[in-house]
Amino acid sequence: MKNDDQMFQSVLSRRNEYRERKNKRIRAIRRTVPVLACFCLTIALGVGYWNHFRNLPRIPVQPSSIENSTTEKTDTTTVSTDAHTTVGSEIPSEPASTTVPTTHSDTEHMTTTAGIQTQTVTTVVTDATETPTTEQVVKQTETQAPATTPPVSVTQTNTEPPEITSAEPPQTEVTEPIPPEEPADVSAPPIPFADIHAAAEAVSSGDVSAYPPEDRSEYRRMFERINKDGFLYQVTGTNTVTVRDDLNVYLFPDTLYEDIGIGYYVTYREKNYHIMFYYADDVSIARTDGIADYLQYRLGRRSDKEINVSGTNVSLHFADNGQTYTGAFIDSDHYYSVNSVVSEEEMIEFIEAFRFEALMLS
Amino acid sequence: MDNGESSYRRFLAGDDEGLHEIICTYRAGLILYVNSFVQNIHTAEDLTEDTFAEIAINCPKFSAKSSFKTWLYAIARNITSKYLRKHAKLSVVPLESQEYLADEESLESNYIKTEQKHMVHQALHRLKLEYRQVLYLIYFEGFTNAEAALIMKKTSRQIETLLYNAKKALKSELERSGFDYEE
Repeated sequence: MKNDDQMFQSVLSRRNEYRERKNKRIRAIRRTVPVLACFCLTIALGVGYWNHFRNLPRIPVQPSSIENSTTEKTDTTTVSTDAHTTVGSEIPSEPASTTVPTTHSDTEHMTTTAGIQTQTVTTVVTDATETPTTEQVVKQTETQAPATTPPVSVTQTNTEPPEITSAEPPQTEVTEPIPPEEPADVSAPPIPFADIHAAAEAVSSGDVSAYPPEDRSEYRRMFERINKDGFLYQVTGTNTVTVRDDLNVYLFPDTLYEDIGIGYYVTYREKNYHIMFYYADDVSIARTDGIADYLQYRLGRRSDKEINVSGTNVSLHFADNGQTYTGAFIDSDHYYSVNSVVSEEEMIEFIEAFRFEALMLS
Repeated sequence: MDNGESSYRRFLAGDDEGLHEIICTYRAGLILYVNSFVQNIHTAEDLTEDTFAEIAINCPKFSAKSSFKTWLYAIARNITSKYLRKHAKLSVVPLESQEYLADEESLESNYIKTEQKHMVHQALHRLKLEYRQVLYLIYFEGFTNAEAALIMKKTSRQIETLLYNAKKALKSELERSGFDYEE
């Protein structure tokens, strides 16, 4: 048995051991906690960054083929000395009144119609002052698929006056091109009609059976929206603004960067203008403020200038190829867009001059 | 005067000699007290060391509601109770067959001077635990009824009753063992 001193020493040694263990624990905690905290913080930051960048809106990229083809068109689409064709946005049009405004939608949709890889551009070579006698159709097809589908509306007849200017998709100017291989961006092509009444009849019937199966859902959605609104806008001819009866009226289904719309070609003071009446997207309306904001958000079109024309706020965009784009709200659910190769003053003059009305559907 | 409190206060202040004084003062009594529980002197010694280690490591606060000795014995009792709960299935060796080790004998021979006291001590070991405790605390350690009540976590009234019964039982044991009890 231990005596008093031995028990005292034993108790002291146990106390010292306990204190040593306690200090070791404290040292270990002091070393571990900051490391763990940094690790957890890094994980949290990483997760936060990952979620943030994952949820960023995706900017669609146009297919490089569009750019390439438009580049090629530059070499082949010039047909006459007096006429110049504008094909795509990359082809600058020479300052001639004969340059036909381009329809960006046409080309884009036709491209997609033709199985994505096919791009057909039909240039209209006309001088507005001359009777269009020749149709010079330039088809440039870049097919990565074996079959090419002829454009829907452009080459209906050879005797027809030149139709369809090459379209300059505003997206190519203000946004990155949309890659053709992304099926989400492929949309149904616009539907041509001889006139507004034929279009109204088709919309009222709602019958999409005549169209390709893969496009029917989009056409059905387009018809439903137009029927829901109950009317189609039409340009009313005036003394100075003439609707081009020789060219089709087109109904455009909505795409990633375009609303449902109806398009016309008119002539004003010997210059051609393309007018689109759009059915605005509710979600985009809610998220934007004003026409410039909406065009930027929905169409990807930058607004270079905003002016007031007859009490209406009008957005102007000046493309590098000389095209002038303008847009304005008609009401809370509809807006128009006009483009042509004209100056700002000419465009403003046209906006003030042209008239339109709603054709009620039966 | 219970100088355990002052020694403990000095120990809390950092003077390890205070702990030495406490150990010297209370070691033997604690061992015998704990032995009354565990019936094993070596275990009692270890548990007594655990008691002193408890106050040396954790430095519990002495609130002076009782004497320091009472407080210390209460700590020892708690530690012993934990030990007994943990080792509940210890083999029970009959007291008659238990051989007292030389160490215990030498401790008792230093503590218990006469043969009579030795017989009383042996008779005590044959009593119930509670009887043994209360008799040990009151008569061997000199605790008052109140202090014994604090240590055993009973009321004073219960201690009085227990003490009465314990004395009766001890008397019976002593008479059985041939102790000539003279009133």
